[in-house]
Amino acid sequence: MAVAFNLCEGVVLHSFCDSSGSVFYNDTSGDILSVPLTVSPSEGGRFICHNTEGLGGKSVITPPEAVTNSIEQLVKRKWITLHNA
Amino acid sequence: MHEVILNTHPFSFRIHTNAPLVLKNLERIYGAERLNFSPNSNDFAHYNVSLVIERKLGRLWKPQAHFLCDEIEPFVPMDSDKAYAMLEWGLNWVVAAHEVNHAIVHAAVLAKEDKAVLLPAPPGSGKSTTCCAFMAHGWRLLSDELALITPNTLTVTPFVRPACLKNKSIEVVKGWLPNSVYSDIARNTHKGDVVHLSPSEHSWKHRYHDAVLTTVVMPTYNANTYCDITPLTQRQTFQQVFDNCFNVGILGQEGFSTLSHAADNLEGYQITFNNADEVVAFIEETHGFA
Amino acid sequence: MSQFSPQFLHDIWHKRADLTSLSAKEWEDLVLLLRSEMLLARFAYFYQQQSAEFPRFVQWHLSNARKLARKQAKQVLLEATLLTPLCRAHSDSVVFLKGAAYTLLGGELAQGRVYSDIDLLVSKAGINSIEKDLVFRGWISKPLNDYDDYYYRQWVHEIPPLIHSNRGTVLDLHHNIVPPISGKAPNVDSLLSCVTETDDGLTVLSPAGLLLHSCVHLFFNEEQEHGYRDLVDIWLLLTRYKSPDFWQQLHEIIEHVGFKTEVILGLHYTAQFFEVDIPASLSRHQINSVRWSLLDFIYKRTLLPNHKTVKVSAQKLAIFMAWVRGHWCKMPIHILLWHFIAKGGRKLAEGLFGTHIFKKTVPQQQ
Repeated sequence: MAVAFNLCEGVVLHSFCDSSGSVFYNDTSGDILSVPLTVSPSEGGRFICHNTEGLGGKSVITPPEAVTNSIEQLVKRKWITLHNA
Repeated sequence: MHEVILNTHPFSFRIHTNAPLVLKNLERIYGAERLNFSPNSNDFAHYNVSLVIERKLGRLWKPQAHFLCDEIEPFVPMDSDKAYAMLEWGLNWVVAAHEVNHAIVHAAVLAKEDKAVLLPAPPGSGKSTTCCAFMAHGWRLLSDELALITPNTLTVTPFVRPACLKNKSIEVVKGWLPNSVYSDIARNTHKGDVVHLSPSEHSWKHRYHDAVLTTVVMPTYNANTYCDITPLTQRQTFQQVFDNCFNVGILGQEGFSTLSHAADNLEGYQITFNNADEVVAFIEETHGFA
Repeated sequence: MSQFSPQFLHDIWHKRADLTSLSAKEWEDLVLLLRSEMLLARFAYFYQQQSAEFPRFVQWHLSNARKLARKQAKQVLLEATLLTPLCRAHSDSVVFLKGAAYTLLGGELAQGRVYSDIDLLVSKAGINSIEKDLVFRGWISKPLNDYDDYYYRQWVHEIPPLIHSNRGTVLDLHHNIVPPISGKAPNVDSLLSCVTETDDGLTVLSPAGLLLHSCVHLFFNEEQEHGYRDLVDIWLLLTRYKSPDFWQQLHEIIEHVGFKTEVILGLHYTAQFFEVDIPASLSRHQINSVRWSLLDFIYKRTLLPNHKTVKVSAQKLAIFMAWVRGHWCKMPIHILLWHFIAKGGRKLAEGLFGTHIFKKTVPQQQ
């Protein structure tokens, strides 16, 4: 399942090379949120996060609930905005 | 009141003290060559601290030790027999509270051939004992408490100072390193009985040499487990280091990128053990050290 | 400890001080002095170009100071942005004062300005509801000893400082610039008409208002902890904003709000230390000469740093007198005596036994 989103102002993200997930960092508040999602950049400054199968030579699958859960948390904190495309 | 400059790298401290116990232990642990007992106007220190023993009204029979930095007293005073330990804790506080040119992680760092291992650890995890085990195997100590990481690199600057040992580990380490130099024991502190150990000659000799991080180890002492090793994902490694980083908040994005860069490039392990030698053996094996 | 003359300190801000001839120890002591007066970051920005010639260990400290100041400035903007809508729900006016205001105004006034609290002026009617809302959002009362807590709530009619449990920011909510119990509290409405909006849409007191408030804070307070720093602020305010309009506005505010003596004092010492011109209508000659000689005795000493490196004769006596005067100004005499005794007794106990015996939490050691 692929989910596309934009980062809100002041938020940066880092996806780990071993596909164990990503960390979102809010530069204004200094808070972090660590999530079991792998994210890759896409066009137009957007990001795509997906279940991680087949990425980086590893086959680690993020359960759909984990993806939804993490996305919800990020949206709730206003750290990302979703795309419905 | 005595005034002495302690020349550690990369920070020096101008220490004012009226406590003979403090002066005696400073000389024993650091050696006279790192102490300047008659500073003149060409000498400077990065930080100015005091360790003063006073009798206040109401406690005439029990003199108390006070630690101050720039007239601020961050700790509740302690009984005077703990004065030296208090000074060492105070110096850690000063650096943790003021320094933002490095990312500072609450961790021990050791290196062999300039490859460094980071041991972040909450109190009671067995970090200091593990540290000493590494030293007994020829690793050099870069720091017992404060890892100074140059932002956006994996480089650690040594901040060689004594290791703090508590309670049972004191006897264990004395068994491994009988010829090392130990401070006077401070009994019944809030951490229990405490002793400071001067790092190995090898550590002192290389105190100006940076090292490069390769591994993060989260040690947990458990009397019932010989040696249980769990690899950490990069995300887990990141979390551990982040949780132990004093100044990531102030460094902001630079702090975040430093720690994420570290997590991407370091191997992380959680090790539960009752035999510290096994921890060292495992790390040496993964690095290809004999 | 090295000794610096007051003139040397003033010359630092005029870039006339001979810093190249300082020994290593003198540099070390100068850094300590500036840090103690909360001026290290300001100094770091003032001398940003020249600092490459300073000793390395000094550059190190300046770099630390700049980073800390930058982080604090960011923090203030975040807090101000979050606090404004929350407070607006209960109060028409939400005005930032002092250090926070300088930061929000930006420019040289903001660079390197560090402070411990964010000061915010809101309406008296709304202040208690605001406190409740803030507590709901993770702000807690800063632990004070019981006496100070009582003092705040009963006599000063302000709420004690709030600290954010997560971010550690300290917030001081006010509904006036002086405690009402003194009988000298100005009609706040006239003060609230002297506000200005920053580029980020936040409200601060106008420069003339900020100057008046700074002078009231300096000369009405019982403790003059950072008097020298506050004068540097006033100097920078004047440098940036002085104009015929500014002086006009200042006169008007004084007409409506009062505190002419305090403004005269503030301007006099700023002019003395930093060589600015002030209008005759606000010169110290407006004050009766007997009264002036007492005030000058106190303030020309207490406004200089109270630090081992700056030798000021009779400073301790002057500080005590300022403290008494500060108290005197604030409260009717029968209350003053009670406060003096209780607080004085407390201070005596703290002096003998150490302030930490009143700490509610033991600081954690690493």
